[in-house]
Amino acid sequence: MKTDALLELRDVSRSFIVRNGLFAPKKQLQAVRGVSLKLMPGDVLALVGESGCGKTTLAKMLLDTLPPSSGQILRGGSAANARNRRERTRQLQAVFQDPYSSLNPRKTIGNIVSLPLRVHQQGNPAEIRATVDRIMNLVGLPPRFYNSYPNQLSGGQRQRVAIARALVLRPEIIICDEPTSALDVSVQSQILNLLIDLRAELGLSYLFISHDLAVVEHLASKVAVMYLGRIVESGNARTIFDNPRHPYTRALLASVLTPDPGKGVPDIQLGATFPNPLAPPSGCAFHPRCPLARPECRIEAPPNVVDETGAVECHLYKEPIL
Amino acid sequence: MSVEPFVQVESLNIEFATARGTIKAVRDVSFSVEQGKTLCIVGESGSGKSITSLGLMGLLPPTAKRNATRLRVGGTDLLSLDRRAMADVRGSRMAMIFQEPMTSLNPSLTIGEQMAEMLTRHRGSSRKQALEKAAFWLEKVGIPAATNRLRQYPHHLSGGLRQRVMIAMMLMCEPEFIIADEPTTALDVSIQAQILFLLSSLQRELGMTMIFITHDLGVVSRIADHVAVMYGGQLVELAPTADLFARPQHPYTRGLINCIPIPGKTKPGAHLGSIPGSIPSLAGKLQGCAFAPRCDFATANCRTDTLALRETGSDRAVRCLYPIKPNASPDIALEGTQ
Amino acid sequence: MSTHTDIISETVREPGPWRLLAGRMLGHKGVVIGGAILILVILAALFAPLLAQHGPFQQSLADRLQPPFWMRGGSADYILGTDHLGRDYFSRLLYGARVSLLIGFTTALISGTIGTFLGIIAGYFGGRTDSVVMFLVTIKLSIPTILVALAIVQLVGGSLQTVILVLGFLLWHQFAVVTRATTMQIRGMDFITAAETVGCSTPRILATEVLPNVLNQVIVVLTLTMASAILIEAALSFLGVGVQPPTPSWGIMIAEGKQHLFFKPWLVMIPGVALLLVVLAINLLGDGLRDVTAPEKR
Repeated sequence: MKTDALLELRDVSRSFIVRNGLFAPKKQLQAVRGVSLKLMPGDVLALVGESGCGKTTLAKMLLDTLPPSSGQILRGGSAANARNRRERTRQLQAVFQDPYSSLNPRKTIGNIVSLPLRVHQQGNPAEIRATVDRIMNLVGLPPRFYNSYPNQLSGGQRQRVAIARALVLRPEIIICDEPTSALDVSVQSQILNLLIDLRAELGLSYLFISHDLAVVEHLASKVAVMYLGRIVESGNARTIFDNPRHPYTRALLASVLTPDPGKGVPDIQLGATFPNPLAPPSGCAFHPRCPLARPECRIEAPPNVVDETGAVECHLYKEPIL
Repeated sequence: MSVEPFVQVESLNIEFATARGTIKAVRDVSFSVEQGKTLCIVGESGSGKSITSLGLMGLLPPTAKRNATRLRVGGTDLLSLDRRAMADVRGSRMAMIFQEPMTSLNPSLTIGEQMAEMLTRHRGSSRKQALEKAAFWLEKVGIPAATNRLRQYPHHLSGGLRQRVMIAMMLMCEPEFIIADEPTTALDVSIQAQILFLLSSLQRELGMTMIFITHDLGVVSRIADHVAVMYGGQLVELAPTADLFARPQHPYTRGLINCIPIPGKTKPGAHLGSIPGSIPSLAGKLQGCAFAPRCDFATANCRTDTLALRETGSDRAVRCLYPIKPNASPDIALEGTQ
Repeated sequence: MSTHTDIISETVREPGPWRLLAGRMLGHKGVVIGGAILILVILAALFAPLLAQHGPFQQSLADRLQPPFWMRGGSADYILGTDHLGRDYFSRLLYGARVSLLIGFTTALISGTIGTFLGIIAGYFGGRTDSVVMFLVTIKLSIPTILVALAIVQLVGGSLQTVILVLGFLLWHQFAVVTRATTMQIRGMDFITAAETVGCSTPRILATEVLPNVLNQVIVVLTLTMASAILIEAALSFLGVGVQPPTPSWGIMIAEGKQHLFFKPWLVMIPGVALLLVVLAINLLGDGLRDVTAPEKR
């Protein structure tokens, strides 16, 4: 069934078998549990969550480096399989978090950026060189860097190389996995501005994974909040930031420390213990830390309530808000 | 008679001898902190902020050379202390919290053993007393089931919990002075907020003087009484927090503030302010202002003159030939926020 | 079209990784000394026909057992004297160097290829592949190399080719261990994931992304394996099961000179010192390379 979405996840799950010592029984770690998402053309969909929420695993499944345990991943409406792998790699590319490990230290910048073109045999060496030069110019890298090595570049420059590599096949979607978290503040804004411009110029859509909510609020058109493998709230960025519904989303937003002298540090009542993904809490995974937990939260998994503002998975919203 | 500031640092210089020559990591840094107050040292990588604190605590590696005209904490002249005396002061009167709690905690000792050691060594408590106090402090930092935790090893705990343990360990000796070097940077956002809340309330409760090192201006605005901005090994601006954010005087400070997306203020989807270029190298000959290559207002003098930190108002100082005047329009040559 | 160009930073640009390595190598005493000696030996072996005054097989029974020129009875005709068949010792030494170096290089290459391949696939794929390779390494480690080499060469009959093959298949384990460790480190790095994302096939990734990062370590093990191979060959030839006479090999020369050890010690000492020098040089070089390549690890 063809849909309009560029990228769609339908009830995707992924679990791992974890061995807890030589003699203990093997346990199952459910990193992603029944996630459904849609990325429409032109979206900047931000995937927000903290460590252990499953966003890294989700990204790996989107990039095809990890198969889902169950569920479907659809690209351009059709399910992923071995035959259209080449087409998928052309359509979807990624920029990773660590500019120091995402570039092969023994290869030149030119070699790194041209790799996708050579793998997909797009053009002769002269044409490839021309494309690489053009893209390097587009991302703000001086042409002399073509023969340089990653250790000669700064963190921001390396991230530009990573972006250039992602763009060279003219993808429709770029998955940005914390692309600025490892950079200095003054360089972060350079790269964010670059991403904003590239999106406008090249008509890209982004799946933006980040823990930095200020950046997300600045960039995203849609947001999905993950907690312990599930999406607990999703919808338009503006709506979610102005009016967060899920208690976890509210706590997350309250934790964002904007430069506001005199406001002090908020007291977020979330409790000190972090949940163990190997033994997730019963009912709603968030209930042990939730300031608004009710008796049923411990027993029953919360329903997914979808309305025109978005989706939220919480017992508090069982009755539709009119 | 005014009371001497609790922390006094004057003309601190720290150099490292490396294969590629001498690296001047910290150049002529001076600041002071009043008792019970918090100073935030803000900077990006290469600014020298961490090295400054290590220099203050006497924790520099042997390849480093430190000199200063004045280095006093709580009335004690740190320059006159030898390594052993310094270690004693560190354990009993000063505390330091680092970024990576896993490497600061000994993985082969239980939490209880490590915490108890702090007290038996520096306060001469008995082991039983020490363990009781340890359990008390674990509860105080919000760790549930404290007595059980004492028997656990660091790898049993999550990052946030380990950092709480670090804080408990450091504060157990009730130090007068605490240096926290990016203690929450490696933690999740919600945990960060909780740890900061804990730290600032404990600081107020115990009346400790704190130096907090970070790159996060948001954190700075919420917990600092005063801010010291560092760039390329130099201290470029010193100001009370509200003043710094309302009227930054150094072009770097202003550039940095403009770089951050501020929900509610910066227009979503628009360009953020940015500072072109990258962090300078600290090797080789260093002349003039470290920020000059990236500064929109730099002149030839900026690159050659030796600049001194000049006082520009009550409690304010800036190291710049052309500091920004209070009435200047906020949008000069920097990409706008509105 | 809007672009963002970085201001050209005023930092001193570091040289690239290969140039950095070359610079460090030239600055390290062990590398320079060991490398210089090795190069001299290689050149001497290459130019043996030009340097030797006589052929290595040329017998002259009238001139047998002559001492080297610095001893009484020696002459400029035979600089290092002659052996029991009157063959020029200097010439045999030079041609013997050829044998040693040839065996050293080819054995190292063969075992290097086997070991590096196994190490990389073990480190990259993990799981069962890793278990199998580590099992093979464990077995290999429990085999006494020289004894097995002896046994096989006895069975098959000694010759240059046999020695090379046998040693090639006995000396690969260190390569495997070292490359496996490095590959496992690299496996988790984002540039490997990036290569997968871009659509690189796995063999391509192994060859173009993993291998260049593993080469540093491989070179170190290569030099040290060379030294081992040269020594083991000398031992085998000494025992008569390696290279066969009349091919000059330092081991054979020592064996043949053994009977004259007390009255004509130079017959044993000259090839012995040559062996010592070459193996020492290679070890210096190898240790130096290990020092020089280690700090590059992130």
